[in-house]
Amino acid sequence: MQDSSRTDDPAWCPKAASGVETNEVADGYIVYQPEIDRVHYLNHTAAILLELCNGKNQVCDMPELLRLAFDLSSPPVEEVRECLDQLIREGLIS
Amino acid sequence: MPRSAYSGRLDKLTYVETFQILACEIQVHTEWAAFADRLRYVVQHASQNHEITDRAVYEIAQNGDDVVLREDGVIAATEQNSEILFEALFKKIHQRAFAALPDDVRIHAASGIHNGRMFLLVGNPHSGKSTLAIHLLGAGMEMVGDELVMLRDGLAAAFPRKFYLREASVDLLPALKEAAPSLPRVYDSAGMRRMAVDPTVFGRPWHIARLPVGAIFYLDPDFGSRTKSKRSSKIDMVRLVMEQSSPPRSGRNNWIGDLCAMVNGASTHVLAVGELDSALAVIHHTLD
Repeated sequence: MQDSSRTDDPAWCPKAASGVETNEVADGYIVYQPEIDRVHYLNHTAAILLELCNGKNQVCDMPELLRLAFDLSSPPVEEVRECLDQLIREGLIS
Repeated sequence: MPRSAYSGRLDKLTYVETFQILACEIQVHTEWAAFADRLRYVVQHASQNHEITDRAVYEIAQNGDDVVLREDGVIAATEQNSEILFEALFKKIHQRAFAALPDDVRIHAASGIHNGRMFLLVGNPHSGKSTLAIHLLGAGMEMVGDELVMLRDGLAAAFPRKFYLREASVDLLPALKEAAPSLPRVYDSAGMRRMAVDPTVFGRPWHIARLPVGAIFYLDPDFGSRTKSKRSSKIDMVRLVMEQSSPPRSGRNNWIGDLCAMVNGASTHVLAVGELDSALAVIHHTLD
């Protein structure tokens, strides 16, 4: 069981599961984990967050990176947290 | 609450057929015995426990040299050729039934039920879905559809319409030969004669239910050979199923997520479909 409370740690640098393949489709991305033969559908925001999960970006920096990517007026802090929790639950980041 | 059915001037229309297509109840009225007989091609009485949210009334009547189709009292088509009008009625009924399920994904697949879960035979037109589905039905499997599956929130239901078989395919289906002469037939848009079959022709129940999907077979025709099956990766199967799917009419997001969840929950196989008895054996073996 993954612990979604890890997103409470601002210094955490999440990393995408190994071998994940990302395929663009209408309105989002299909992400494939070959190791466990499982597919996931992610919206654009979740897909960008997954790309940011390279083991170098800290959780606390991600809202600002997304703000810049989507030209938002303020950093989407809560949305990023929810999205990261979802990626943890799906086993796509650790 | 269901939308109200039209209750206009139907008194002199003698023949009435009422049937359900998932969320839609269809009523067809006509004064022609010949047209009423033709309705056997489309009317089905599959048992369904789906909530009805829409009711549609169709009338077919003569007006001078024309045949007129009305939908809820409004003229929907006027033709001199009753065959063409029948085709228009067929399309209208199905469009209406689809409209009553705006959030559902449509998947081109025959379908059956095994141990309380659906299994799908996904494939292109002319990949042999109907012929294989009827063969499995004749062999005692619980087949519930030959062409379309509706998917929403991880649960799939066969779209309840008869199985439409090319007349030329009857030779491949010995179990159907006895019943074939009495089955309703029409010419399809390609000028081919098709006959309408359903599970009751084989004395079997026909129950439509929303269920999780346990297995998906993608049909890759290899007619003339022995049928073989190989496992498919989930990503390949999602791609194959997406090609055979239509997004929900409502435009709801995450319909691809629904497909992914369905594929993740199922065993996935590519079936090189050849000879039908070997296909039956392979499918049986895989499902068990």
